[in-house]
Amino acid sequence: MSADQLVQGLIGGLAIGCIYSLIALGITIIIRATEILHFAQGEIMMIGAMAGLSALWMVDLPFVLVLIVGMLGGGLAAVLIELSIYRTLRKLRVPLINVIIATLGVSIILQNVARLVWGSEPLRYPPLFRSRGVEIGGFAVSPQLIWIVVLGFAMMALLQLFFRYTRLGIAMQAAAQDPDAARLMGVSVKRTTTYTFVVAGVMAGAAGVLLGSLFFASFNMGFLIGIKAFVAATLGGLGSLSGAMLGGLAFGLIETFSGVLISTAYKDAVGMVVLIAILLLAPSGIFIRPGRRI
Amino acid sequence: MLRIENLHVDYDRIPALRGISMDVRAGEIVALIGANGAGKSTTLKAISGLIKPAAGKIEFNDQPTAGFAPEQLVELGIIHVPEGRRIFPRLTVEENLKVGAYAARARIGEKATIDRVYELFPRLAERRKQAGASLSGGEQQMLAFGRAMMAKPVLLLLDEPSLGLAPILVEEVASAIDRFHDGGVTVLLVEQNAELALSLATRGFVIETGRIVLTDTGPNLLNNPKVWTSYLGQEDWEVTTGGEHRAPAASN
Repeated sequence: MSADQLVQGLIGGLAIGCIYSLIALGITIIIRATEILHFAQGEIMMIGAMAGLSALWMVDLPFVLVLIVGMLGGGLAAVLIELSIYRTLRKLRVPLINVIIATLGVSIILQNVARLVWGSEPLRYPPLFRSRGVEIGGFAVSPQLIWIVVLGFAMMALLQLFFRYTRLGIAMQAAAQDPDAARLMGVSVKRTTTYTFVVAGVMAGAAGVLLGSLFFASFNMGFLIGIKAFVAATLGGLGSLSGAMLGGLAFGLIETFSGVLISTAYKDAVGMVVLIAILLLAPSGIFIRPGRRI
Repeated sequence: MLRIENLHVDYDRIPALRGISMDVRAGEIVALIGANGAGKSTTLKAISGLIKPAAGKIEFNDQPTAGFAPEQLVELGIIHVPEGRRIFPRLTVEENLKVGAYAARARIGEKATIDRVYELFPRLAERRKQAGASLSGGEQQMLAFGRAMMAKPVLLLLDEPSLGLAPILVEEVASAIDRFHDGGVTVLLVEQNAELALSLATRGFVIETGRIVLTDTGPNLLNNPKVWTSYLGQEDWEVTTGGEHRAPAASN
């Protein structure tokens, strides 16, 4: 592996890793708050990508605004699904496994709705960054990748600040840790659960725009990415925010370098081998330490 | 302030409370004592809205509480400190306190309240950046009290605050309850440690298998041998000189 391949692999791996991290964070906070494995998180990401692209078709927006439209799209899709389907299922007190199966149904429905609305052909994002290659230490690097890393990290930092310093963020953590005790302190757990889906949807929507700008947008773009984000969340121990973040970044790097070193044809399989290996060797994730706060 | 009439609660159709009636007047400390499984915690959970009664009526300040969710009752000032403290383990001390002041009515003067909590419990101030799970049992109880203070209780429901604490810490629990009372808070106290509860209480109710079997003033119950032998099942109760009783330590 040449030095150039190393630098390209690092930046490319971090960029795709940021996208996995953003989706994995949503998966993680939903699990913590509701114990639901949200299999439709990848499709929420796809809706974000489509929303951003549709906005771009209508008006020529700067990239940051496209990102915000994608976040709004993801958040809106998530809250509609939560209110109409998951909350109703919880009210009916159906077993958790049934709710999880319902999330698979939601995933397939969203793919088909997207196919109806946006068609089955992959859609190209217009070039969002017109600047030429950036030079870092003598290596030409795509500005697209740099932007994705910068924006991805900024989003994750914002999420950390939200959970650490805002009253709502702290109450959402309290509700996830002990719902009854939180209710006894005046926290409406019904509401914090809905907010959890909103936050997860917003992060996924951002991931959608970032991913779409890198490749293209299509109705089925969320499926494999969603599964990979699950691997990333599992890598991080399915419980801590920092675990999900590191898990996403690590998974992005593993996948990218396996593409460089082995073959890009097998990089999806390598990812799944990683998943099985974690489950066999370190079932509680590799970044989790006991007593750690999120 | 609080009136309970003919309250029935079932768990999966097995009755836990079989028609309880009791009242708590403003400014009182009322103790609810009884053996394990008699229905003490169930009564508190019904008052705070965590469980729905099968029948009967609960009124807070002459207003029926049926249909109110726990978080809505918190807005009225009913604050329930559940058994086992239930500190949020992965939140810091400071964040735990902040959640305590979540209700809109508790946010007024929140800064002053948090200063007062740290003044009363300096250990909490020292550990304000530590996770709840890292505190000792006694510190967790202090945090539970502090969190309840943040919520600005009108009626405070305390479930087994002395459970599992060393005798010296039990003293601290007693003085914390006294401080709430001095601050104008009405207290309904559930305790295994009946001696502690009755020595603090103005009045007490004895509960046995889901029914109130005896009620009297705190001092009268404290000196009533029947309370100890029949209801709490303690054989070795004895009267020492001067009518002072010596109850054995509550067996958990």
